[in-house]
Amino acid sequence: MRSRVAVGSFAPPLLGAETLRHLARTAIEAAVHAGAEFADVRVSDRRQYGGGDERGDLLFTYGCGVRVRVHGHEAFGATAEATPDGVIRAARSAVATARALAAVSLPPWPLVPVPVTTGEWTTPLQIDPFTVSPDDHAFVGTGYRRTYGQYQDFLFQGGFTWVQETRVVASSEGTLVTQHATRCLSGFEPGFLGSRVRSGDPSDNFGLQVPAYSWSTAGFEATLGSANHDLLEATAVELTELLAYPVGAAEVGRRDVVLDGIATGSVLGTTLLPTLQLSRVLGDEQDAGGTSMLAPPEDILGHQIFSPRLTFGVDPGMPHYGAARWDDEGVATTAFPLVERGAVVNYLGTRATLPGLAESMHQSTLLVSPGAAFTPEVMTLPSSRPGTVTMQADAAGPSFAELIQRLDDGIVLRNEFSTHADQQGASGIFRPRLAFEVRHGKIVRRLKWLRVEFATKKLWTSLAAVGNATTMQPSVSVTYGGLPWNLSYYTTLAPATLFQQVNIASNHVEI
Amino acid sequence: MIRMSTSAASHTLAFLDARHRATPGARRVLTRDEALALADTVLGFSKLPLPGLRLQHRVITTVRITRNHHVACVEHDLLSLNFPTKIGSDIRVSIGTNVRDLAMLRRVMEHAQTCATPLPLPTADDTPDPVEAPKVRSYLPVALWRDGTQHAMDILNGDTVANLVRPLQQSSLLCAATILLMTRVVLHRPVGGQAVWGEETDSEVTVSARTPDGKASGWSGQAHRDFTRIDPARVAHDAIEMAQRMRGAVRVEPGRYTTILGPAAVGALVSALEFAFDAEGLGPFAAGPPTRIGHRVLDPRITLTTDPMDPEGGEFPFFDDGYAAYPSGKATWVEQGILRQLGYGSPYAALNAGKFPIKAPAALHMSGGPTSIEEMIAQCERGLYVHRLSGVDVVDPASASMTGTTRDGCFLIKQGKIATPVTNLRFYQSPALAFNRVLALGAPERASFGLTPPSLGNRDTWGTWPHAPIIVPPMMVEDFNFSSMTDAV
Repeated sequence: MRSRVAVGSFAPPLLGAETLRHLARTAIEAAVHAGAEFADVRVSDRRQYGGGDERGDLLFTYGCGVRVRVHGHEAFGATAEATPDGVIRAARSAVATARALAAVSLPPWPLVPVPVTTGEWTTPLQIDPFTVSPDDHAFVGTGYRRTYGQYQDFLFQGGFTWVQETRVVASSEGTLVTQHATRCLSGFEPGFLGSRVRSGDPSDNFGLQVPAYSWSTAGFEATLGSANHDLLEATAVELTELLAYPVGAAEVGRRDVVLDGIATGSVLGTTLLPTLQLSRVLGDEQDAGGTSMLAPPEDILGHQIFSPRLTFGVDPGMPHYGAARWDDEGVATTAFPLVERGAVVNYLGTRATLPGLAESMHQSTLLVSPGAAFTPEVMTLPSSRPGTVTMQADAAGPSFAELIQRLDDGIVLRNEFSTHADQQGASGIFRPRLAFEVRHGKIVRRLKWLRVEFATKKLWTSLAAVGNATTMQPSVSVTYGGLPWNLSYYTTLAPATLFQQVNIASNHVEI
Repeated sequence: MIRMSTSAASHTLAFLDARHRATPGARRVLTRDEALALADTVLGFSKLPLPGLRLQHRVITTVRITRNHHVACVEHDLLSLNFPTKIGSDIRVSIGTNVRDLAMLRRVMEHAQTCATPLPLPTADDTPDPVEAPKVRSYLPVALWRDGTQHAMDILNGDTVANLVRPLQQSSLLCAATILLMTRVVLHRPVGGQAVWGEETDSEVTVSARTPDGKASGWSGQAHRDFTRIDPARVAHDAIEMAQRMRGAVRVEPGRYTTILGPAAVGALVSALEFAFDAEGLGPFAAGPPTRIGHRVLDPRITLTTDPMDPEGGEFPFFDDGYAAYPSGKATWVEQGILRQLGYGSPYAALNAGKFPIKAPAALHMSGGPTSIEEMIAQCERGLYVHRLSGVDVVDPASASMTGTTRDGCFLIKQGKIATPVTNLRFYQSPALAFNRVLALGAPERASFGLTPPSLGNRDTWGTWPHAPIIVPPMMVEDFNFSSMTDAV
């Protein structure tokens, strides 16, 4: 018999919003009292449940991070101790560090002034996943598995993880905002075991992601409804059809290539997004992940560098992953473009890095607004990390099928990619798990042992067509950086695309 | 020793903070007695029997120097507790938390077991199950802790940062540097069983330098469990010199080159190759049947081991869940080129496969040879010297084929001499093949990685520092495949 006791009964919020606000104010007061001319603080109470099976995991995380400026010198203190004494110690520690830095360091750029903001925001949702019982979470997952049970050789991969967090951002300037966010980290992929189980050939281990499922800001309703099961089934049927094609090796050389939305997003998220982070452009990550090919800004901003068909930007609205009303510096978020018709028009910056951009451009005023500073967990400093980036579809553009029909002799790449970029994002390589050869507009065979090597600017300059809105699909990318060093995820929503004369190489190596 | 009991639920672990601020160089992380007391206190909050608890306490100090003059310093202190329980009708869950206030911990423990039925305590005959307590076997104590690193964590109180910043400021290049220091302890506390304890330190200094025109770059790094063994001034000097030597780099055509790989470059390849020694992985050594154990897979001069007692490297001699990892004290993966054994990600995976549990490697030590880098260059008619590789990752697990780029130091060799610096190249190469075309090996040393994104093939922690120690020699190999040029500097 299924238990009806909600996940929230096992995992209640540990602290209320008022307690978090009190801790935030206490930290600010402690920092100012200790001598800081500026302080801002992020306090978070987060619970996470990963279920959908007979096993699960629950994670409770609390944190407080205090950034201070003392005579212009910046320091950061953090604690996981959720008491006034704990946050006071973190604030005082940060002030002491800032003072000590004066002996060995020049002060960083001054922080960009921003409007004082106050308020509270809760992500809208229909069904709070923490009001659902663990048994019902598992029941949904089991139902999805059952959908695929009828397909021989299919391996079902997927699940849901729910994150619910109350985060308070406050500053000595008077900002005090509270946000309650519920996010869904989901992914479903019917995978084909193929001949791997029979011949030991791992190149036949692939799947097709169900595009409706990706990371989002949503409630439990995202998992329900017959439409979801229809999508799961449709994906399985499509994969079955794709598997019926004969299999062969790709011919090396330059070919026109169509990427579906997931593949396009994967390449965009791995190559261009990191290069637009000011922390990389200005050299903060020089001794870590690297710098950026899109530097110096005076040679880049406003110049057309990529195909005029390429337009994308940050989208913090619902229901995207990372949707928020304010960023982690308490600045109101807005959607803004990064690349418009092939020209770089903005970078991703924070209050701390945007002055560096102004200095680089020899401008006294800011060219880019803040509002894109985030940190995956508050015990690290916020840096420029978008929750979701959206690439613009071509309203009058082709469907995915029509894009394929445009190929006389080309390749279509589907779904999840293994994408790698260099230390400046100037070049990369991707290996699709599902690729097909197209002759005269029709898929003729499935390709194995294929990889694509590219120079990033050249690749995005060769963008010849962008699909319409029906081709938009989500993908998840990861970025590393920050202080202390950490990783964060973001999603990219992108349409299908057609690239011309892409460098196809053989992946086939016998050991 | 800390005294805690259920009646002390309002206490916090603030004593830790007070201790290290009151005494410069004091220990940041819990002692064994403190960790045991905390674990037993938390287990005491439980209304139902629990099989056990895992505790990890890690403090990392990071100093980041950017644009020659700007220093940032942060200390990241993370205490985490994990334990298994059941919720709902029969949902087995792993519960984790970083909270360090005992009142909050009590709240976590009490709520997590609302309506829960107790998990059976393990017996000696139990079927392996991930939520059960580890069945600890004896293991040799290891010495991975160095007081010198702990003492250095008050990094701003000494001269270290100033001494590192000075040459960067005096340089005409754009310099950045990182100092990393870590102390970490792990405790597995099975109820009614033997506690498993490990403590370690690690440290690293890296410097990168770029010419103002952005056309040349250099890098250097040193890593050691004992920070006092690192020479930051030397690291700065080497990075700046490398950047100066890279001025005027010319393009060379991609293709197959005799290649001399410095220790940092070999380390990146070996680190990414770790997955190949996982019996459950898709790598070239595990694929089968037939098994490749007993067959030659690498050059006969290569022996690859994981030895927890390795004074320069080493690792905890137990799995992540506390099960003893190396029954014979250490693991030899490849002996004189012959594959000897494979490891497992968890002891239960091994037991389910009917194998004795041996932990798949995180730390690795590759044997070396007598040839210095200078001698390798002198022996090379035409080839490349690669100082460092970046973004190394597995593209095709079946063949262990990897991609990545040269970074911060790449030179063309002609007739036994460095001829000219060259712009960076992308490679596509399986080290499982390259390590069969070895021409010469040098003296092994610990590879430095700094803060670089992890490889999919690396089995170590994701996106966090430090890497487990990788000790490798410089290596000269034939026909290393560079597949394309890159504009990245």
